[in-house]
Amino acid sequence: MFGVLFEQTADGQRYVDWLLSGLGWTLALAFFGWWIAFAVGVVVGIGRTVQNRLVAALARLYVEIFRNIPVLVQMFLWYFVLPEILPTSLGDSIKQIPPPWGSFFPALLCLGLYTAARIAEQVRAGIEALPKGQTEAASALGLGGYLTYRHIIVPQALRLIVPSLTSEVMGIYKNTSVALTIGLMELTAQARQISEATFQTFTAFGAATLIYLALALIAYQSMMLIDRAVRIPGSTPAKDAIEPALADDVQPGAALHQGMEVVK
Amino acid sequence: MQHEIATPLADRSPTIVVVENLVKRFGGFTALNDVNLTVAKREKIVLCGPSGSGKSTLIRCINHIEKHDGGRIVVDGVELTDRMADINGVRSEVGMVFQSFNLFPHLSVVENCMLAPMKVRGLSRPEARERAMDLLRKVRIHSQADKYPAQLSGGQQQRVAIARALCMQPKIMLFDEPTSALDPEMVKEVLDTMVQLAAEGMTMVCVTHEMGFAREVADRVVFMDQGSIVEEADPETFFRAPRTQRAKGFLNQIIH
Repeated sequence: MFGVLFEQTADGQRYVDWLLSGLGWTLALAFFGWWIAFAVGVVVGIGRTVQNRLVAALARLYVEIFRNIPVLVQMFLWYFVLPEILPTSLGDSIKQIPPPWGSFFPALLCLGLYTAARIAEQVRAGIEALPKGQTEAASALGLGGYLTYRHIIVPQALRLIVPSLTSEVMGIYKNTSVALTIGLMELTAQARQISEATFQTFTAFGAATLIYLALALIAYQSMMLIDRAVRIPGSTPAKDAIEPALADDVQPGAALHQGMEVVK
Repeated sequence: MQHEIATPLADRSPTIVVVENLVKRFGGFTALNDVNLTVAKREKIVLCGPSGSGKSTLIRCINHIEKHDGGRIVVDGVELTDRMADINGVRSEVGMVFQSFNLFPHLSVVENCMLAPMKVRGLSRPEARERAMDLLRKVRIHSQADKYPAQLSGGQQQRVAIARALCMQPKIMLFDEPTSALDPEMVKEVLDTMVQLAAEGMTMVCVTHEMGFAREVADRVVFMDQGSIVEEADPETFFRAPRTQRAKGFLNQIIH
């Protein structure tokens, strides 16, 4: 049934090569986007919990903006709107970035910053789930705010949220498919192109579906391995410890906070 | 900065903690109401009283984990205020042991003891490790140094917590009901450690209901009720002939 994928295309490649090229862009977008999301998300999540009100308010503002605008709209904002609102010369030079980079970079920023808002909320929940005694013990030893976050709070909070970060990892690579709307030839876009070229709609999207599923399994298994690797000896699995704490605000089903997340 | 103190003990040795007219409120509830307490160097004080009497709040104020609402607290010559820049400098001189241990679960036993000396005192890793191992040996738990807190019993965890506080070489140790969360058979190992510490001359303020410990170690028993210090006496006098009705009632309840 997938035989058509190995036929020659007009440009001398095989259709499967189109898929693999799309897969490459999907993976690149998800991988680099993830590190942007993780870095920004941890910083913003910490910002949500600090005593400085201005920092906390700015972090909150970030989360509310990036989490509550649909990914598709954010994609268009970065790709179409940003060059228009920047000074003309800068905007023009952005528009002249050659493809595929002209699509890749806006998509990367969009997915990274959107996912960062979601990760920030996980980080915040993880920090707030820690017993108060941890901060008190750190203070009693003379550790200041920075040292306490750096050595006590963040290492524990990140361990706690590994299970819930799994869904963010899976989320960011699924959301890469939205990049096709701004012209990035990622996996879904390539599947559509194959379908148009061969009229084998089922085959084209069936292959893409299987690849996405395989990626999901790999992501899931990798996160399980990470969870096991960072687990504190002697402790119960982190999932059990965090779930009651997360239940109120970031678990799926908390309709208010999940807001307008339509594209996942 | 020295303080003139009227108690006989303080005449012989300089004070380390002075608490004057301390007031602490939680919302509308007054947890501490006009509390005065002076701790001399090398002195051992046992704070007791019914639950909710403010004894834990008092020692938590002494290292500024709770911010007080009125009065003065001077620790080692430095007054604690909300605005002070170097609260961590004061805290690093004050060791604290909590009821619930509060070890850092993601760090091994020895790392728990090494972190603050390295980051706050600036010790090198080998120096911090050596000091940590010395103190873990002293609380007789060095063979577990590379385990994690969750792999130890409650009594062992509390002894690690004591060693962790000692690694900062504090001038005073505060104990907040250190044996209350322990199974009965583990209480003794922790108390033994504290007795040993006392014998070495450490200044200690202990919130505890372990009256045997109080008799053996305390220079002074301070009895609190409803946010105030009701009675202060040496342990023999306090246990044999409490002056106030409230102290009598309390002793009747805890001594079976």
